Amino acid sequence: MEQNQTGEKTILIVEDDTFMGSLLERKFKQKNFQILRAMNVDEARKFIESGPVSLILLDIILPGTDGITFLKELKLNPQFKDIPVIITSNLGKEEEIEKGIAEGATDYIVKAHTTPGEIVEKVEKILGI
Amino acid sequence: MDQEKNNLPSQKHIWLIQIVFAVAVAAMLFLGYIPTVSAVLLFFVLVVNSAAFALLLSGFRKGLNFYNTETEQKSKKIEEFDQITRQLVKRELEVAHANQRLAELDVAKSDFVSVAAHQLRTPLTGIKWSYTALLDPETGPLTAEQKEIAENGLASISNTLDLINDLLNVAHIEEGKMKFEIKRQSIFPVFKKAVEGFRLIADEKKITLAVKIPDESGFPDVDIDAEKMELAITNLLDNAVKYTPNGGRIDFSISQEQGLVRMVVQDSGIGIPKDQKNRLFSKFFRADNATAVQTSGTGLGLYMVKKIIDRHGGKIVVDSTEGKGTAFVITIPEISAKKGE
Repeated sequence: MEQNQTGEKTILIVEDDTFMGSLLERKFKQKNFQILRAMNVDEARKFIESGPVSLILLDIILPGTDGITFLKELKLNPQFKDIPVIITSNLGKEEEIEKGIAEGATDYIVKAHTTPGEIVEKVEKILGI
Repeated sequence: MDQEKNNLPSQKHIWLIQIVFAVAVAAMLFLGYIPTVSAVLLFFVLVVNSAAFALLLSGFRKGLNFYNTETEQKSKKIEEFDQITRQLVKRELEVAHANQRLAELDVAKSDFVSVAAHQLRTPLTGIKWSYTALLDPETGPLTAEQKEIAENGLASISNTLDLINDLLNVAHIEEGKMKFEIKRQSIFPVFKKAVEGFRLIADEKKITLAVKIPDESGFPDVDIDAEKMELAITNLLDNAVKYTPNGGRIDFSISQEQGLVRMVVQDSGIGIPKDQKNRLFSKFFRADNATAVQTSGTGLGLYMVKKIIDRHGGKIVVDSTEGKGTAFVITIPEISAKKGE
């Protein structure tokens, strides 16, 4: 049952740290999610334009365009504005978290305070799995 | 003051006028224009008037001199005052400039702390997640020794990340930038969440975690910032679990009386030395016996707890006996004077 539900869901991980990206991918794949990985916003744009994405895990500090700018862009686009975005960043000041949520993020996760397993649980909850 | 300066006739002039008059009277007497008695009388009146006039003039001159001296002193004072005012304006500009520089430095410091924290957190997160992956049963079985090494590594990294977090929180509190959103709400979800977070570790240490709470329906809502209050309770429970030996006991209770909410975290741990109780809420302070049994710990937890309780208009007191245990008692008003801050 779980395999059927999660297998239909595609998670886009926008993370420039390849090691952390791979650990996340590994954990999501254990739960049979489809995974797309982007190292920067340009790659992320190509992925969302080429096929349906159920949820985006978005880092803030990225090479080139930053995550918050990409989040604003998504929320202004009628085609993508309803895709849930979870910010996964190590910027953890109150005002940084408030800003992320104010720009339309569904949740804000400080990576240092969590684990890939907990992130998967949160994604499942948001997607109603 | 010189006579020339005030343009008044001198006594010498007066006496000269008097002599001229005397000569004129003597001449008129000699020429027979006036009788002798009248001349003497006239001369006498003239002398008396001249003397009175001289005295009057002298007094007037003294008065004028005094007035001139006063005026000059006032002018000097005005000049000094102007000078001081100019210096004050200059100093004020210097202070404003220094304040602006301090504000710039404050922003720079805040940015530095944020960037440094981010740069430290990123590699530490990588290590933490690696240990988590190693300990994940789906990765594959570990030997008991490998498991222990990975668990110790994970604990060390988690402590370091907690330290960074505590430092950031303290920096935030001290900069006055930690926002408190004190709202009327039930306190039950706050402490339930905090207590539940310690169930597992208490079970692992075979510590009895007893919670004594009144009936939720009859308990009034309280003015709190839920997130900050949870942080405070979590810190107290974390200490209790950390410093209570295996098989010990922790009691958490909450009650309400006369507009005050009282929360007590009591443990059967190592206690606090009597001579160190007064330093307990100081920054970076850790009691001697605490460092002896637990290497981890930043000495910032209780400092933060106190700041949080202070901002709620409450109080925190400690009752402890070394070797027997410690009780922290938090009292906060149901209705906070600091609501909305």
